[in-house]
Amino acid sequence: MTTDKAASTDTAASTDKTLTPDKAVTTDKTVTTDNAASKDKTVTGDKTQTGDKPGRLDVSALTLRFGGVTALNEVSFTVEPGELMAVIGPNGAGKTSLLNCLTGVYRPQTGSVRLGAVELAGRRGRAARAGVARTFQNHGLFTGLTVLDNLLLGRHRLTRTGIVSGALWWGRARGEERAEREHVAGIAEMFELADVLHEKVTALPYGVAKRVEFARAIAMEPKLLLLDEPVAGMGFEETVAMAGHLLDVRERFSCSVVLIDHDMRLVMDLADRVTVLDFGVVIAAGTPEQVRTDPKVIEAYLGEEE
Amino acid sequence: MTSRSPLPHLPLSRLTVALLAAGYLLAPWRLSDFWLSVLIYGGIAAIGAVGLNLLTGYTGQVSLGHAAFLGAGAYTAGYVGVDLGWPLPAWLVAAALAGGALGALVGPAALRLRGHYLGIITLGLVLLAQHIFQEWNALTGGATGRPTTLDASIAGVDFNELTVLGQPFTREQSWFWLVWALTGLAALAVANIVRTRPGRAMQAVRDREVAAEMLGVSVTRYKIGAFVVASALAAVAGALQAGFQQYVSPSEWSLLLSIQFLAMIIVGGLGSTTGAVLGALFVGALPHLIDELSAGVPWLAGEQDSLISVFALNQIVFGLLIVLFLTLEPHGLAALWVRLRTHIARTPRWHALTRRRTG
Ligand SMILES: Nc1ncnc2c1ncn2[C@@H]1O[C@H](COP(=O)(O)OP(=O)(O)O)[C@@H](O)[C@H]1O
Ligand SMILES: [Mg+2]
Repeated sequence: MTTDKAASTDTAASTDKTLTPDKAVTTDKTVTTDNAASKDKTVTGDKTQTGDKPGRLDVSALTLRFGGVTALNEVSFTVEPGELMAVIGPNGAGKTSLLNCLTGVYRPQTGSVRLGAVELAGRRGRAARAGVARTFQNHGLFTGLTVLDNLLLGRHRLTRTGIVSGALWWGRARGEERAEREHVAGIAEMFELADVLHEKVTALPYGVAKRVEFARAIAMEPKLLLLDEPVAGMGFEETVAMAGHLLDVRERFSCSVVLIDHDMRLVMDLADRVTVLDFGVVIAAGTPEQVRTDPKVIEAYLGEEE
Repeated sequence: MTSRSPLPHLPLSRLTVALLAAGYLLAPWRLSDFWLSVLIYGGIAAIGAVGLNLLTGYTGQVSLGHAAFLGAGAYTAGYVGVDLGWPLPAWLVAAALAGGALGALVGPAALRLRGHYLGIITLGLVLLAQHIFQEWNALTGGATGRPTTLDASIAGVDFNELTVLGQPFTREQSWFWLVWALTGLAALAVANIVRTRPGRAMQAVRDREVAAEMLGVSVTRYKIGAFVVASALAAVAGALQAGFQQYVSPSEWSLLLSIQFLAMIIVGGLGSTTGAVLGALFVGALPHLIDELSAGVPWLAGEQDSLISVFALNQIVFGLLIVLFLTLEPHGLAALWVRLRTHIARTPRWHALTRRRTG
């Protein structure tokens, strides 16, 4: 619809409006949770200290090694419900490995990942059930399928038609299929994908494919959204549009977000808090302001830039 | 063509369905018993092929074990239909259940192995099954085989001696109707799975397993589920083959049969139910076509002075076609079919007739 388009071209303006109140609220939390996190390093997953607050993501002392390579080294942070945490760092810092640990794709040697009271580390099927949605760095779309089918797969966990009722095309199967197609068409509208709904995803430009994957994650109605470099390789306009969608999503669904990005531009405008990884170690954490001026961060990025 | 359809279409237009229905009803009157039996074997193969296509084409699990499940279905039907003397619905359902159960036993192999390794394990399954079929005399009659003169009656209608309004039909005529009704149902069931939630989940598992898991798709459930459906359909095909032939021997359920089924879904086009049916017809009918066409060719006939035997020619044409399809038309007969359809649809006169229903 035209209203959506108008909204996304306005993102530069709306960014500031929506972000300022959020930041004011979260600044205090930042200090306390950071302290808690650093104390926690030794007492992994101690319930009495951190508390199993519903919807809070609690990552503590994650260590992941591949042979001699330590991809993550004692990584800890928390994401409060509704908060947007950015994780940045140079290439190879361990950002993707972190998401893989959060979703059970990789099994960390030590440490824990809790969403509320649910332990996610090392258990692959559990993340989706706990309400976690993620995107992949080089998109994780199903290449043989259309945009519509990809979005419908986002609804998998929220729907129930099984093999037998699907084969019979009877009762629930039919009603559910109709309702879900309506629903997903609405999501496509929101992400300006209505025109490509019946295209195979392989036929789409890179930027559009990334948007489809984002929309598919939103179709899951997640409590926690994990985005792995959602604007990597995008031009300025596409980046701004994606930021607009992200703001939209936070406003409508109030989910927590872990946003991974290679560079700082997008992150500094959107994030409530930032965690900086370098060689698998958290070298800085805090508000975008604090992180931007941190000498260790500047150094890590300087080493990479040229 | 961005019409937002509230419900997914089947891959066939109404006109095509009407033509197929007319063909189904009329063919037994127009075709000789020989060609009817060719079509009956084609229809039986199609039931197995749409199942294998769900497993391999849609779920991405290569299986060379299909012949074992056909055999299991044939002997289950033999036991229930001959030894117990139960009627058609009983041996058909028993075969499907036995096939499904065996599929559920073998399916877990797909969780640990992928690609070629799964292919090799399922190959072993065929060899093991053939061994069992040869040794289990009480059930299979050993290496020489056993009669499978199954009771083919359902609700008082006997497909071995069909008579409608006093008019008797040949066995080929009646079995054509029986088999193709079941082929239609099997293809419809698979097409329905594919266009709804479980089929999408299977395709997600095929395309990107990890991404599928991240959406809450249980890889275990859908891999095993696809195995169960494919084996159940293979067993139904085996049961029908036993019923139509009235005799089965272990050598039928060989690796060659498994490979023929793979050829059917490749020639038909992986991941297309229509394609699987076309592929089964094609691969099933090809040897007979060559037989028929070569009858008048002197250097081909089965005589001593012939340059090449009909059997060898069969193999050559068959192999050539598979190579041609894999290189020139990887999407198989299904893609040719779609192209033909769009070509016809572009002709204005036909347009109104072939237009699909839209929401
Ligand atoms: N599956 C894997 N096997 C071996 N090493 C890996 C694997 N995944 C990541 N790594 C290593 O872990 C480190 C971090 O990689 P990654 O998480 O992809 O970084 P980033 O996403 O920040 O660029 C790199 O040194 C990488 O080579
Ligand atoms: Mg990465």
